Order: sequence, then structure tokens, then C-alpha cells
Amino acid sequence: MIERVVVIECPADLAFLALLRQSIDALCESVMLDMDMYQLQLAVSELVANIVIHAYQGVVGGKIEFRIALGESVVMLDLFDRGAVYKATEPRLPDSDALLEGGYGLFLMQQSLDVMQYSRGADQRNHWHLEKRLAVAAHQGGKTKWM
Amino acid sequence: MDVTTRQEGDVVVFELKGQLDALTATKARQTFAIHGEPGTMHGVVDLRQVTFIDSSGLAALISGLKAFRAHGRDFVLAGVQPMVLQVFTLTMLDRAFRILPDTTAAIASIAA
Repeated sequence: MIERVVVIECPADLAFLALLRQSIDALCESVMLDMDMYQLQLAVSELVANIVIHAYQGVVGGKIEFRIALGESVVMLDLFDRGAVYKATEPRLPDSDALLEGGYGLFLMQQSLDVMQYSRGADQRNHWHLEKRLAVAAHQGGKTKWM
Repeated sequence: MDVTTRQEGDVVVFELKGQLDALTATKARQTFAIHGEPGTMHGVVDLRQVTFIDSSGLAALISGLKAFRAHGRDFVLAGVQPMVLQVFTLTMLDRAFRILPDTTAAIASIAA
């Protein structure tokens, strides 16, 4: 059951990264463990930066639709954009000894999420669906308890 | 993201404050490059007040490590918060960087 939903449409601009992270914090702060919250914010930061830099490739006027839905045991995020098609690659951790300055983003997303799906709609929109399960919680009398 | 620098002997201490992401990492990267290029100083990055880092932030720190190492100089991280540290652990970059609890320990490790 979905308990709360927030929808934001913002310009495809890195300046909005912090705002999107804050919106996750505002919606989920009372039900998420700090580590889970950080991982969800990390995944969103990686994805939005990828959309801005790679999908839109500097195109001015691009937009991102960002939807967060908080359920009883899961947070679901859906992001839509009209940038270039994402060419799927298998997330792989770069060799740390090589000191590469890129290639960590998709891997960090995968490690941070329980579900990560991509599709290209008939409306030419990219759709990313992300899920992060909440730690085992029992709702008692409207108060969330962590177990 | 605020980036300030101070000098302690032959060590330049970079004090970062805020969130190190794709928007803000450029500023840190440029600061590391400016101070790393002469090749006469070691670098210590004080991350006590960094509350968030993503892969762009990691990339900025890697660029600093490479810039200082290119001149045979150390580049040490200090005061990494637990949430931030997990990003280093996940990417195994905790093995590439020397990470000390605070700047005093980091500077001492260079002097040793």
C-alpha cells in the first residue's frame, strides 16, 4: 500500500541534485535507517548525474520527472526523461589499482538498490524504476519500530 | 561545497565542507590540481565535514591522488565519516587511499 507520494519536475541540471536528495530525506526520514537513506540518495545522485551528462548531453531545456512513493515496506522511485536512449551495460567495478576516474556510478547504484529497471517508452521517454526495501519494520499504533 | 586550504610544514591540508557530488566535485578537483602541480607539497584532505560523496566526488579525490603521486608526494584522507566511508569500501578504493582518523594522524603518517 502506498502511503505517501511526491512528484517533482525539475530542469535536467546538476544544480538540482541536492534538492532531489533533500526530497528523499523529507519523505522517508522517519522510516529509513541512515545507511539506507544514504544509499538511496547515492543511487539517485548517480542516476540524475547520468541523465544530465549522458542522456541530455548538455541539451538546454531538458527536464526530469521524479516520483517517490513511500509504501509500507519499500520506497519506489520513478524517473522519466526525454534524453538519448540508455545503452545498457553490465555494472562492473573498475579495478581500484587502476585509479580510474570514472565507471563507478552504475556499480554504486546496483549495490545501493534492491531493484533497478530501465525501459524506453513508446512516448520516447526513458523510464528508470528504482526500489529500496525498508529495513524490517513493524507498525504498531502508527509508530514505526525497527527490529 | 566549501574548500579551504592551509599549510602545515610541507603539507597542504584541504578542508572540505558539505556534499561532494557531480556539481561540486569540480571545485575540489581544481583545488587539488593547483596545489599538486608544483610537486613540492604533500596533501591531506580533511573530510570530517563532508556528509555525502558520490562517484564524481570519488573521481575528484582520485585525480588528487594521481596528481600528488605523480611527483612522489603523499595524498592522504582524514576524518572520513562512516556513511562516506562505505562508498570507498563498496568500490574498494579504501585500499587505494591511505585513510587516517584525523588530520593530525594523517600529517604524522607523512612525516614518519
